[in-house]
Amino acid sequence: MEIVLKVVQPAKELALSPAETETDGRAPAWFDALFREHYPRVVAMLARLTGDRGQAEEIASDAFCKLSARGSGPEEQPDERHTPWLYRVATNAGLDALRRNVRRRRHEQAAYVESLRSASAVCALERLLSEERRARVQAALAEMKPRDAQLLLLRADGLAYRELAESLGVQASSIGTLLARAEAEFELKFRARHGEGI
Amino acid sequence: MKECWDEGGLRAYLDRELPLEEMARIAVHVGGCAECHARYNELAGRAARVAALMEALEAGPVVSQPISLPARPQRRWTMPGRRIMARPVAAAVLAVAAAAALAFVLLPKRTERPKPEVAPHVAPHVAPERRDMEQAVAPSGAGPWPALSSSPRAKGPRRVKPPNVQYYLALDDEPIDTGVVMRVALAGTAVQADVIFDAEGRPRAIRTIK
Repeated sequence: MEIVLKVVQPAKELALSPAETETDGRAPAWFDALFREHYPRVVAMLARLTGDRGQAEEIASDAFCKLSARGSGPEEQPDERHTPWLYRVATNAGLDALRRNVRRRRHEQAAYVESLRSASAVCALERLLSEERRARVQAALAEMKPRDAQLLLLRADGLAYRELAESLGVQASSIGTLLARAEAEFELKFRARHGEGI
Repeated sequence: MKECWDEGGLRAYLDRELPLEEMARIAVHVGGCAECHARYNELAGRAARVAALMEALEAGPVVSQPISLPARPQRRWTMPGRRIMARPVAAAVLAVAAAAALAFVLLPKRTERPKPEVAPHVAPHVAPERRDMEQAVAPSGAGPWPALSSSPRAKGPRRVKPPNVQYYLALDDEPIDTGVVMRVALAGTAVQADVIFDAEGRPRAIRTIK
């Protein structure tokens, strides 16, 4: 009975607090801290990218799982390379999901257009235009380099240059240049697909 | 004086992500350098356009956006007792409360009815004319409830029985189009009532069950 209680003890199985970092195969403290700090940001970035919060949470969870498996052991100290690696993996997975979603989105948009017919004309037009613009922006992002897309997405989420530098693993002083180039590339891609009417 | 700034510096200046001293220097330089001023304006315009487009991503996710379906037609009940109430709990509570209030008013009158055994003692002394007069008046009292005669003579074999109709008491002034009848019982008592609920689940009329 005592053995069984030790096995199913939920406080030990599910705890993420740094205080319980015994070597039982649980996540180390650095992972918990990184998860708490970056999981909301990663999900927000992916939700903006894919347009699906549920899918964004799935991708973010996968990225964190990979990061957890990547660590050598619970005693490992936090590594500065973990954060940019995490964002890079999450962004790549988000862009892959965005490209895979094209077919599914066609069906969903058909249903969406059907739902618009029941709405008022003005409201339906606004929603239709909004969705069209969203699809165009996502298509342009999908053609960009993952790092540039990540930079634009995180900047749109309101991250400061210091936070952007941390997520990209670069110096904060280079963010201005990277951001300016990413915006220029985005505008170029967008205009190439949809003309001058940006 | 520093030479012209690169676009990275100007972009950071645009976002106010530089130290104050450097911000001041760039401001002075951009104010006096036409080339940097034009580049700064170009960067600012592009940043504004990109930001506006990125805002489209938070306007409403395609997938997780709830698709608004046409409003469900309002349920109507035309066959009493064949449908389930839309809000059964609230309706039942209202019905029981109404039945309790009605029963509270009506029950004392019913208990004040004359006992049947009193009738044989009084009936022989009543004149025939008086009996006829009571029979003529009795139909006017044939309302929702049987006439509560103060005289036990009405229990005689010639008594006119009121029609076996139990009327509903309307709970408001609005006409009732369609509805469903639900029989409710006051908890802990034998008092029952029929309550008419309209299509929205509101109790509209009530009658007690004898």
